[in-house]
Amino acid sequence: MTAAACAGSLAAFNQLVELHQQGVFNVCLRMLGSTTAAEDATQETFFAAYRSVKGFKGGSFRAWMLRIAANQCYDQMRGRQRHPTDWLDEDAPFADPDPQPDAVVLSAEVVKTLEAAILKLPPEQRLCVLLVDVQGLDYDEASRAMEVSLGTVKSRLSRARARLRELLPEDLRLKSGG
Amino acid sequence: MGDKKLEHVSDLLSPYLDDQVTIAERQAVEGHVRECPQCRLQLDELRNLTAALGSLPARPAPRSFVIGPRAIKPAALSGTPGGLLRAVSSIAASLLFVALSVNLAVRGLPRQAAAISVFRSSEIRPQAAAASGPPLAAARAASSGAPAAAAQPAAASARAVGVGPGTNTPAPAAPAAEPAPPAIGAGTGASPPAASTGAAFSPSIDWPVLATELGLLAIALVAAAYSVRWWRR
Ligand SMILES: [Zn+2]
Repeated sequence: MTAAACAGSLAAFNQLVELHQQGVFNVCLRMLGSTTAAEDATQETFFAAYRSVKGFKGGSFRAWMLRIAANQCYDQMRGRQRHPTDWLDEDAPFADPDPQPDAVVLSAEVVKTLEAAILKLPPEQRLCVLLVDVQGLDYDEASRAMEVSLGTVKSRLSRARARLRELLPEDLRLKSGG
Repeated sequence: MGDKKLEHVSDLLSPYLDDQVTIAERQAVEGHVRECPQCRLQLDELRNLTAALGSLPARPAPRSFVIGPRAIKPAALSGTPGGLLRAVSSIAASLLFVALSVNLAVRGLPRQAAAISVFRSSEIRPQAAAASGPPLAAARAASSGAPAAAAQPAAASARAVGVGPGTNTPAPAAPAAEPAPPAIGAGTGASPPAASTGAAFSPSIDWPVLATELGLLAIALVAAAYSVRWWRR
């Protein structure tokens, strides 16, 4: 599918869009803190990806796509001087969570608190947490998506988690995980 | 928590959770955590934090981001947005040329003198107008010194070709009293030369109309270019 998309097939590329659009949108949403901005960034990501898909050199397509998404988010932040203070619309519905055996069911309150805390991180740390902890990329994918070394991923993630822990109310730190 | 001394293993806890430590580091963390309640608490909290982050429910995409063929076709046609704009500007140039030609042709048909004076700007002498168009009613009327007769056909023909009400052609009711601005400067005497000057000027007064038309056309083209750009998205 990736090969067909790289060969220029729009239908094949759109299959990849359908596969990745939720992940890309969620990274953009939690990077930017605005549904509208996230929608723009997501659409621009796939346009940009389609334009440059012939230059995809293999490896993790998800990491490659998320690198474009991250750059779109940085562009949005620079261009609009958007401060992610306006948080997600209250009525934005949640998708059904993927049925993971070890998944923890979080209360809406905890979800909100976590998302707000993520938005308070510096953008690079925010991206790192979103890619590794939320989207589940491994360090190698994250280093490609962020265009930094593995060591930088490691230290950035460490700082991001420590900061996030400080940002959370004390009573949530232990029970948030269940 | 703010007590992160070197002997603590705070910096190793995050990579330890991800299994990104050496064997020696792993042993150091596990040995230390057994003895240090502070680092143990920190590790527990980090573990809970990463578990919670991994369980954040995904927000559904608000719509499909599948790329429609119409979104990429214009790009394929013109290559770049610059190419598209170049194409639009050449179309704009052609349209402007056509508009100009049509304008001149339509206005030139009833009175050749009008077309001539458009080309020669406003500096046509009354004598020249008389000499150039003896068979034409407008030119004859102008040279014969009948201002009302001269102005009225001009106004009529201007309206007949569909020029907007903005034309500065003197109103038929009082043609001699309100000729072109230079005639006002010359006085209200309404002498034959002044009247014929007004008649010769009336085509040149069409320039603002032309400019307005061209301006409107340019605006329309810019709007078209932008809507095409928007449509591509
Ligand atoms: Zn310790």
